[in-house]
Amino acid sequence: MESVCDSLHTVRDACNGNRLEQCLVTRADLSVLSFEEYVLDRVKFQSVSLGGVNFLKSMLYSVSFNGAQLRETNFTTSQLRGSNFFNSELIEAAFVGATVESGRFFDSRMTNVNFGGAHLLNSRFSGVDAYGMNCERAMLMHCSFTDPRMDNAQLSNASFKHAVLIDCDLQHANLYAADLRNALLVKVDLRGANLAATKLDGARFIDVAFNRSELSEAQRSALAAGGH
Amino acid sequence: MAVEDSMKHQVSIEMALDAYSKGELVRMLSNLMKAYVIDGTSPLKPDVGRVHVPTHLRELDFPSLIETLKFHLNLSDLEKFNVIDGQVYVTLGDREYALHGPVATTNNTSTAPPAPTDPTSAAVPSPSPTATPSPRPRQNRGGGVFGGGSPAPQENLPLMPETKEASDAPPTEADDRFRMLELD
Repeated sequence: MESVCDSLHTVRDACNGNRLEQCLVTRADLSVLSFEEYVLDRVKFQSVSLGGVNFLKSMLYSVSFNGAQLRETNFTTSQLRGSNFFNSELIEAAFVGATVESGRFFDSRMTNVNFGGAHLLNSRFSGVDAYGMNCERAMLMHCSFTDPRMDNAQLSNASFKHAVLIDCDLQHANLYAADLRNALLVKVDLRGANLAATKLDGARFIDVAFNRSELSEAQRSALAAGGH
Repeated sequence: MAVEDSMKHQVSIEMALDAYSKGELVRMLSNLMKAYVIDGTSPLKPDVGRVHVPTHLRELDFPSLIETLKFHLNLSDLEKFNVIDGQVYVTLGDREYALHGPVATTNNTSTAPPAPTDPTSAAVPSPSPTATPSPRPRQNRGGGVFGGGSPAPQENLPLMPETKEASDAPPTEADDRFRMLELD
């Protein structure tokens, strides 16, 4: 049976030790709370403010955030499995070293979100604005970036420096001025992607579909030097 | 995929992974094994990045590839390519160039019309083999894998402006007329 929490007080009451499970949290300002090293299981956050809240080293199983304010929220080294973010604000949120498995990010603002060193597995990003997203030294596996409305996922100025991308769909993505230096891309669909001003020095492309003719001479040389 | 390509890819992956710490590599490997070995995840787009080239085409050199394409495809742009004696020539505008040679070719003297017997046209300039050498051989062209493809060289020669041979005789009225024709 799912319990409903609609205030800071009721959320605190629902927490059992460092555990919160099977509840709907709605219309509450939780920005003073900390969920560090918590286990959250089947929790729904709906229209709640969690800006700057600490989820450090937490484990989130089937947690959904719908219409949530998550600006600068800290998910560093947390484990998120089957968690969804719908219509939420994740601007400058930190997922450094986190593991996001089967995550769904839909219609959310993710400008400058930090996935440095994170592992994004089997995750979908749809209709998100990920301008300046940092995926340095991250591993993205079986992930897709799409935008049904705009037709191209917004990833301009994103950093994939030293990142490993395996089996990813970035078709039509806008990677303008993105940083792919020393990245390893294996089986990545970059067809129709905007690669203008993308930094490719040392990048290695293996079974990557992209339009080589749209690259500048310098970009082609950089790729060749990377072993492609 | 050719064995060489596969090996090259593996070396490339090893070089890329050399930049990661042991901890990072352990985490990567465990996630890879879980996803694709234990869970049996199917790739999002299995054929992405793969160019399906028929095996027999991979084994051809470039001249043979051109011959084969011309033989099998009815594309007007392919008619701009000719293969003679294992050398590929491309026609750009009204000139023909060897792909691996800087010299433009012109009409061969063997295809020039016979000299007119009319005395008024005695001073008409005739093509000079020494002034317009053609690097392109005229016979014994290299055959394609299917034994055909490109037309005979003589059939496909571009009409080239011909260089006039120097003459000590003073220009006649006919000369002036032909000069105007050349300009046109």
